[in-house]
Amino acid sequence: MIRRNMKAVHDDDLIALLKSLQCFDVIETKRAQCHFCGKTITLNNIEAVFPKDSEVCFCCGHIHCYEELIKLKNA
Amino acid sequence: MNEANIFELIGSVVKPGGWVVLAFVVFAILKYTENVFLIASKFQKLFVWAGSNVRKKTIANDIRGRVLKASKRLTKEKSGLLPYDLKIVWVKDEDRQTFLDNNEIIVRMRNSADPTVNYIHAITEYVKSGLIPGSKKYLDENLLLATNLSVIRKLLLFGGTTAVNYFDENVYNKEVSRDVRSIMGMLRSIDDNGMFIQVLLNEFEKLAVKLNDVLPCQEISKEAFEFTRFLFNIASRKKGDKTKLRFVGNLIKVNICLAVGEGYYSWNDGNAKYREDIDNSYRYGIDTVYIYGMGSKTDAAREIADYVKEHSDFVFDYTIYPHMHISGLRKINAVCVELLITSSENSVSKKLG
Repeated sequence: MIRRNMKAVHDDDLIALLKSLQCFDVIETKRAQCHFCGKTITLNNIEAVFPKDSEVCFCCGHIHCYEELIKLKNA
Repeated sequence: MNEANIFELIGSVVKPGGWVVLAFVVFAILKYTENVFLIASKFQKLFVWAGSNVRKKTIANDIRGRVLKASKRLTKEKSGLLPYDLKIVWVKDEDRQTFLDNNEIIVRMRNSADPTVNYIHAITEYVKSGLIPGSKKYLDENLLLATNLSVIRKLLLFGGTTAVNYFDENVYNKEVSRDVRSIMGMLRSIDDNGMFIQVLLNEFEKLAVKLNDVLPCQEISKEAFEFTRFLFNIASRKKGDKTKLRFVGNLIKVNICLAVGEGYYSWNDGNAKYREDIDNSYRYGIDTVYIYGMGSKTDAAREIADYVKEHSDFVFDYTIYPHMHISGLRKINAVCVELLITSSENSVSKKLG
């Protein structure tokens, strides 16, 4: 079996991670959007963070958005 | 007898037994690793109140155990399809520049009593990253999505969870387009007949080797779709239908043989007729023949494969894939035998093997 690693952040550490990435304020003030569907990102619906074009981007919980994210990662 | 002697006596009895127990435990851990993770997760769940580390270990072990369990079940249908063990690496904080430079996704894992969403995300990432990685660029977008979702659903079922209900209600019913659902219906029928993993994905996997990084084009994706439809026609045929069992495309060249009772030949015709058909297949340029046997005929399928391998000039090897044939509410033990009928050194199957 080949081991694959998946980076993950637990709910308990989510705010700390967002603060360290300097994007917590953007989410708190509801100025962040899902990169794929444009939905407003909140602490409730954020499912993933990823880098794109030197920016921290976000993905919501919509399965299509998550799939697009995986596609992007593997492109 | 004094105290020291009693302890000495107990030790001399326990010691050999202790090694046996230890050997058994090590064997169980190596053979049933997935269950070790799942049991550990269930145990740790009792102590989630103790702190964040315990909560993380509960989630990580649960996901790893389920993914391993599902992967092993899939491997029984076809080895090497998704031979991955998925490990969660926890991130607490990250330097912004390092994050931007590393180009890696960080997925959220929820601290919920219901681990379903966490598991679905893990399986989605697992499938989309690992399934037919070299060939997926050649598939039509809808066919690729339907294939991924079908495998995801299959793994959710294997993982022994109720996640498949969540998937059906929240993904399949709400988020999947009609076109993709239609294809998923075809793939479901193909899977019920044991041809999804063993034939369709097997042939898609070979495309990567055959095409060797050629640029994707419409002709390739069209042929892949036509092949899917060909298998669906076989899967959905009624008794007595004269369904085409041979597909000769530019890239995919396959013959399906149904062992006994239905299809081309009955058992009375004997193995020689199968060999004749398979040798003729080679003349058509077929490179893989699949023989199917169901129920009491599974042994017949194996015997035919043995006979053909021994007597045919073109068959150099075969692989057996056991599976469950689903017909309505009935599940019947079945077997698919993949015959590799080219003896060329450049054969795809040798490269993949």
